[in-house]
Amino acid sequence: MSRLVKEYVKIADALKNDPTFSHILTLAPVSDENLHKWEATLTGPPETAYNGHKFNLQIDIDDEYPLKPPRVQFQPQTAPHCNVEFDSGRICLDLLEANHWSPAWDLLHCIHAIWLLLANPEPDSPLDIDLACLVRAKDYTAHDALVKYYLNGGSRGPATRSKR
Amino acid sequence: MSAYEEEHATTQATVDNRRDLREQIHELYQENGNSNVLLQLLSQLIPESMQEELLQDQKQGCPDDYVDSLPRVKNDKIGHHEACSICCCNYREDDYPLVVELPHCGHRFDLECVAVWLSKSTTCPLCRDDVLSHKPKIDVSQVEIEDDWGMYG
Repeated sequence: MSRLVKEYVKIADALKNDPTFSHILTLAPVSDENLHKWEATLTGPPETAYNGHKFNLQIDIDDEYPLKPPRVQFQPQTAPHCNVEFDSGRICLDLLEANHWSPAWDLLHCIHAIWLLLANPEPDSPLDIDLACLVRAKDYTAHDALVKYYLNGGSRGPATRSKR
Repeated sequence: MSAYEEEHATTQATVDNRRDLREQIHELYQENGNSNVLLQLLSQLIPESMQEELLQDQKQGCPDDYVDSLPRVKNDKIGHHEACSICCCNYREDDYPLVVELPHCGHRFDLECVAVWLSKSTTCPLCRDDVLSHKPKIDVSQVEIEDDWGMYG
């Protein structure tokens, strides 16, 4: 628990003073009383379809942190990405899984890694088949257009659509 | 089937079985607490799927004696601003820090912190080096090689 307090101080300082993390607009506990629930806001990486949009992340930290990874997901139905389950916001990123996690990681770098994932879709472990197929086919024009369509409120149709 | 049985998806047979087990455990405990037999019986009470999980957990970590054998870093070799990357605490905050160094990558941690991690994993938290993958080095510098190392006719 004391580690979270230390991270809290470190994060506040990094967000204020370190330009490396300027894309993280906020990263803080939802309330001061409960350090197990955090929230973050990211800006979309420049030169990607996500540019100009903001993304909210929900972070749950259990008592075993930092020996176990935090649970991080996007706000449901806000992040069209080939490694994100759109309806739930679940993220597929190896470092967030228990067998790839290391206690030397911290929240700041987890969130940074998710920002990097936005710009670097990994089609070999997809949670969104449609977008993954476009990345795999290297049709980035179509991929970016589809992402922008969803980001601007375009309908994805029924949830089963991507499994067809 | 009673409501309880339906709810817990169990049958009279497994309930009886569990009661027998419980009685056996109680007897053993009363007698002398032969821990091995007791553990075996206890593990039968755990559902199979969870038993596997438990076994896997045990397999994934380093043996206790590995952790015990980690070389300790002397206090005067610890920098004033050096901190453990697991708990983020400065080593020198503690008057008697117990810091260890992983033999191959040389990364340092509080013994307390890294011991818990290595009980579940075999990799260095900082560089993911598999700490068990290195065979102990054999020191050959002290071995004398005889000049006339050959065959005699």
